[in-house]
Amino acid sequence: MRALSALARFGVFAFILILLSEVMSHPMWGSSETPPSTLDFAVALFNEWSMAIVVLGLLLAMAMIGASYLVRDERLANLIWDLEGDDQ
Amino acid sequence: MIEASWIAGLGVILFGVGLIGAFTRKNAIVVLMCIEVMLNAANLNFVAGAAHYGDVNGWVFTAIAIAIAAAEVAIGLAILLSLYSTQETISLDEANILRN
Repeated sequence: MRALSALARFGVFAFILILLSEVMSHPMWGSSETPPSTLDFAVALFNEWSMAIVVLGLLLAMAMIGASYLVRDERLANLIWDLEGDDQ
Repeated sequence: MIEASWIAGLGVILFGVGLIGAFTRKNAIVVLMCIEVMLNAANLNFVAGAAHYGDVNGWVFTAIAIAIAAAEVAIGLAILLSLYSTQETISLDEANILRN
């Protein structure tokens, strides 16, 4: 089992090295163009990607609601409101 | 200006670190962090490609991926809290059942 684990680690490390050399020497990194400005980014967000941003907002809302539902505390002491009020 | 190929190389190294961590660690929080490192490595490659080709869509993909990562972390940490309250451990070796 340990030999298999060592072999897997060596395989992952070799995969990373091969991926590194292939990515860095790829011909797609040859000629570069002018990078986009932040104005282009804003225009793209509010025009072509506006629906995606709305869907993303819904996804984030669902995630927050789901997370708060998962970590709810159902102990009785935390469910009862303090209706007696403070003495002050 | 740093060449885009070096940024992509850094992305590959980060992805490898996250991959090894996600495969070898047993603490669920550390595994979650390693998955985030892998996701950020992919984001780095998107940004490098966008800056290299002058295409703004890579930045948009990165912004969307960061928002999805935030949702993933919120759900993941909530699951881990729920797991700890029922199993009293977050070790991935011991938490091997899906029922509570």
